[in-house]
Amino acid sequence: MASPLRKRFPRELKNNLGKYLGIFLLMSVTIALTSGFLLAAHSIGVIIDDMPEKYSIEDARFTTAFEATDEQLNAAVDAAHDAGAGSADIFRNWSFDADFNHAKGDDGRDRTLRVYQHRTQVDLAAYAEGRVPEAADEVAVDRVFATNNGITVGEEVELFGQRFTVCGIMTTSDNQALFQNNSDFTVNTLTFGVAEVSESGFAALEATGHQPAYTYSVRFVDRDLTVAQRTDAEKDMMRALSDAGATVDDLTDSSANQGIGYAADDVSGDSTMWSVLLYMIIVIMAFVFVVLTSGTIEEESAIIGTLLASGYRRRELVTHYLALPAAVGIAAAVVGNVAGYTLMSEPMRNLYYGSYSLPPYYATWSWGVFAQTTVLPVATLVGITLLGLLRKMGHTPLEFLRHETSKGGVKRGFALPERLSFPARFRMRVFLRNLGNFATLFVGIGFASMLLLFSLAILPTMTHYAENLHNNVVAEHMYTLKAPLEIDNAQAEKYAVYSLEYDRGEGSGTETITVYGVPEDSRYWNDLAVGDGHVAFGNGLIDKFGFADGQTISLYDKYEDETRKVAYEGDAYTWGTKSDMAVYMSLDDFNRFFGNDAGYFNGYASDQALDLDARYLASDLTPESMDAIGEQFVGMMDDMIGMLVGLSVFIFLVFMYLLTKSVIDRSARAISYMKVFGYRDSEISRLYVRSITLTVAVSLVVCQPLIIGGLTLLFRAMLLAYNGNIEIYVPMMAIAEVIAIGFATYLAVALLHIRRIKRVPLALALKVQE
Amino acid sequence: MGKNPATATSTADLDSHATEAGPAAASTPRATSTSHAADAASSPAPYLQVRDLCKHYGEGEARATVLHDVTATVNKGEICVLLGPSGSGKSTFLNLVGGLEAIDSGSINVGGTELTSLTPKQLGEYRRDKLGFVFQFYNLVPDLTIRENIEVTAHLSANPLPVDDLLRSLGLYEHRAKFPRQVSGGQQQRCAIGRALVKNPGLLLCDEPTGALDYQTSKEILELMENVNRDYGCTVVIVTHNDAIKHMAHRVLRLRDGKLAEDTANVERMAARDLTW
Repeated sequence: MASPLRKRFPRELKNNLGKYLGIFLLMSVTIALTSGFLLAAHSIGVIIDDMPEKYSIEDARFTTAFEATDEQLNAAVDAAHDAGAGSADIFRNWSFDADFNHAKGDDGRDRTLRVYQHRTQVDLAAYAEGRVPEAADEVAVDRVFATNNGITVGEEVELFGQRFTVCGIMTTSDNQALFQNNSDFTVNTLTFGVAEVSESGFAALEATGHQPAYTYSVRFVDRDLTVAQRTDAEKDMMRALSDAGATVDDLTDSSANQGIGYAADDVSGDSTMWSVLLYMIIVIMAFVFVVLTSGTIEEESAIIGTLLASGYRRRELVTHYLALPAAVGIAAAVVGNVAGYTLMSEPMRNLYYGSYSLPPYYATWSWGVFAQTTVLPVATLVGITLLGLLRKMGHTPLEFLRHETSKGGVKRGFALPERLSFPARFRMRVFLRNLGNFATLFVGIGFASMLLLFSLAILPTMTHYAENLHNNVVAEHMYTLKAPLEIDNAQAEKYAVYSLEYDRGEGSGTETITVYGVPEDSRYWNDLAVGDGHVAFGNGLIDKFGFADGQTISLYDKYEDETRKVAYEGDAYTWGTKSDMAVYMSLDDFNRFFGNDAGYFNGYASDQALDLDARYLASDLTPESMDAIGEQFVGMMDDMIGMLVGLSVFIFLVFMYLLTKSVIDRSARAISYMKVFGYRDSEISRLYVRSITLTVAVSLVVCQPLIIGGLTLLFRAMLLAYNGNIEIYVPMMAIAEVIAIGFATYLAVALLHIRRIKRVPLALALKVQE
Repeated sequence: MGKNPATATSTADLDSHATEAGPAAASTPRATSTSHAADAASSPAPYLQVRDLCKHYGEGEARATVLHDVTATVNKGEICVLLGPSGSGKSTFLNLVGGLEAIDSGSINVGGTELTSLTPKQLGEYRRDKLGFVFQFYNLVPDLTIRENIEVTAHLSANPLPVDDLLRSLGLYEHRAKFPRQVSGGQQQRCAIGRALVKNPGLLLCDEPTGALDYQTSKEILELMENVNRDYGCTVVIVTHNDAIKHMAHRVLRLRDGKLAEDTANVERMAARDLTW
């Protein structure tokens, strides 16, 4: 026979609708967001996983300073074979970084399109609209760049001043994430994109006098090579190319190519973040249930004692008190999943499709996602609530009958100094009696504050980072050359630059370190302590890796397969911003360090634009080009930030409401007594609500430094595997906003409590309760 | 049941607590309260006047009349015992006098305040200024100490009795830092009386104050109430279904089925310590 106690469920639900509705809403909204996201992420993962074969994605690419000859390429193929990697195909994959302008109504902003000749054997494109370019004046443009720059099929655009008609909107498989340089921290979808033209179109661009990047893509016939086997073979290939007289400027394995791997990594990292977010909310929610159910058990202590004395088993009562939390959890999981799959999947997909150039989307069912968003949350919620219940129900029937289930009265029942005013002592008693509620509330406030502070600090952090990068570019133009080129310009300074790799350790991959050789007493690199063998480290390197004074750092030269060592000499030999990841030495030391000829250089720093032979020019870096990173983040994170702020406020609201409501509910009888004695509602509110207000305010303020510390550690851990150093930058305004938003949310809740106190009936005091 | 020697000792203790409190401390509550006592002795003016009081619950067929045309008067400084079986309307009468429930018809006047015309907010002020409540199950706030429970109502009064003196006179001074759960039922009820008394109310309403206590403790509590009435001069209404208690009262009211069945002035009062049942 079913327990007659079940008849209490609808009444309990009705009487505590706010409590169950709050928990249900928070859980279902979180599950909806998470399941929507994870489903989209899983589907995108499947699409990306299919891409290497479906779109013939390259295994590696290398760039030579000048066009590689057939002999040089054959030498590389032979080297791959000799290295045990089997046959390899090398495809010409040249590109121009062309200045882009709308043919009509251009806003004058600098934009770059990396233009390839339409590829048919490697790194194939997926067309979303239109068709492949056929005529010499046709171009197909990347979907994300097109969206962000309002480009449509049929529009006329200019590349290097040449007019082209947009015939298609597409995505390329080797530029799923639009990184202009592989070492960039983030994508740039606003001012950088890719495009395809026909063979004749490519020739038309060559005819403008610009030099393409002589990039070649490698694809091994053996598709089962490990990354290690592949990279070993690639190094041998590069050595063979060098031996054959080619100058290799760049080698990038597909595993290190951010254009190919970044989107998948980002989706995977975000999936972990969403899952962690979900479980944190579920665990805190479970503790809320434990606190609230403990309150109910204390309240119903005599009833439980009577039922136990009458022969009810503890198990039956535990099941009874567990039933509603479990039902709410299951209902929230079901509703959350349905809403997630039907309503949230699309917006979540758009979060990525707005930033990444991925082929057309199709949803894929995942049992793993289902388990993650349904089975595990419910199991976690029920498990923690059950443990709390078992602990609370572990008393004897007599203890229940005597209301001795709460140790609070004994443990926290110490005398308070009588010199304190009565209201002060009363408020402290309220606080002590509800310590469990307030502790859980503190965790809830901390969690919501962290989410909110993260949301409010991420843009300032990225803007600050972009400012640092802007400041890292010491001259108005930092020209990098493919080979030394002498010019006559007094204010231009020669420098040399080279990239090395630093092993981050703990399987976190390698950091690209830029080594600069600069003139001593440079006009651009001011106060840089270089020369006489001294090496200066960018402050970003020191901040990220914490090198000790005198520590020797090994830097790997992947093109020469050599390890080079530099020593860190302490604070006096640091330079630049906290995002400066370079190592500096004098130009002479640089050439000695790398074994170059004396006087070698491959760049000019200049505050004036230089008229350099385009054949020699590899890149022109300006401070303004760094600003796009800040803008990019604003664009990418805007929707996400709105969502996170909304979620934070919702979490604030639910936690504050539930836990502080429980304080009022537990005190309902005492409040009723006070009304009988003649206390005014306002006086009662002052005694109870002020205790809560003070606790909320203190929690909000006290948790801020903890959160900032936590966020800093989290940021470091999250970003360790990425190039660059981003210091979490929390403006005082963001902290003030978190406190203000948290407190404003609480004020809304407090108004409800004042109303609630008014509604506590006098009759409650008159009810007989032994 | 005969007189219990322990009760007499206990009463003596209570008195001695009151006198041992020291002239300054002990005189304050007494000085304030003697005016009630003096007034009561010189001219037995009515303090609680109830006229044609009616109260019913429910509507239509479910309508139940709980009090029907009850008229009674209790003079200032009197102890009034209200008797009656369960369901006779005793508690409802007390709740109406206490301003906890609305009157259907009739009138209640307490110390010149006509309750019928008061708003819920004004009723709150009335309770604050004039009433003290003592309940059967003490109704102490469990997480406040004995002292703090008394301070709950002391806080309401601009001129409360000194709490420490009161604690001494109630025999609770040694227990002031304990929580209700840590003291006996009798001590809890003393605390409840102290809580009612500390704001020096004109009217003390006691709902079955000995209903949860054993014989000996009940007598101690009744003696305490007698002392309170004598020392502080407040008017006391005790609701009980213990018939023996009527002997300590100045006035006995009896309700039966919502109607006043007895209204007697008790000319041969017994001291509480002499009560037996």
